[in-house]
Amino acid sequence: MTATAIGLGVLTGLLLLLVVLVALRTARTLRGRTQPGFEVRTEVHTPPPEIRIEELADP
Amino acid sequence: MSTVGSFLLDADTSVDELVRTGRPAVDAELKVIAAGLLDVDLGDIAVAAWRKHAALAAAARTTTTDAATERAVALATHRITSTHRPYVDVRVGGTLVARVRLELHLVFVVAALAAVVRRGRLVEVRTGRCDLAGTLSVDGEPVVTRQGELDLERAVRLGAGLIL
Repeated sequence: MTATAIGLGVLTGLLLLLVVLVALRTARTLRGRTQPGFEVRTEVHTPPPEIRIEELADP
Repeated sequence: MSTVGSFLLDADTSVDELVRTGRPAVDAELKVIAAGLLDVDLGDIAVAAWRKHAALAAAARTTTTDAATERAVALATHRITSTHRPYVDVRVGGTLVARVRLELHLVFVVAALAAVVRRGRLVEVRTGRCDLAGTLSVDGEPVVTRQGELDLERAVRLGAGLIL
């Protein structure tokens, strides 16, 4: 009886560990690291504005 | 201070409502860029354009070499166009997979401008009517557009004079 309880406890613990590992991997994947070397990155580019001035014919 | 945001947006409109591409990482970057664009000073854009005007540049040169002189410059009705085109690239493993563009397009039509230039600096500005039209677009789709009148004399902060 005691051995069965210990066995069930160990099994439950292993299952919980598995769930935690899967959750961590999912979180890492969602952050964009699907595989080593395939990181998703964003790059911001802000070129200077184009500013022009032109005279108009007065009405 | 007259910013692009104060002209383009209603008081209850936030930048979060403007940029939604469905890609959280891109949206976060776009919001930062859009906030920067909305914070651009309208007076600074006008002054940047006037610096390119030949008559004002000539007045600046003349008054820089001769500090005792002061030049009054009159400009006819003119149009100032300003276009900002920042963008965000999304790369997977170094390969470009998407590019999301923001565009801020502003058009000022200034009916008349009387400026005083002293020691190479713009020290006084009087303008007639200034009509302003602005559009903010995400990936070519306008998300906000507005037309109105701008008090350009108040928008331009001269301080001790702006170097031309």
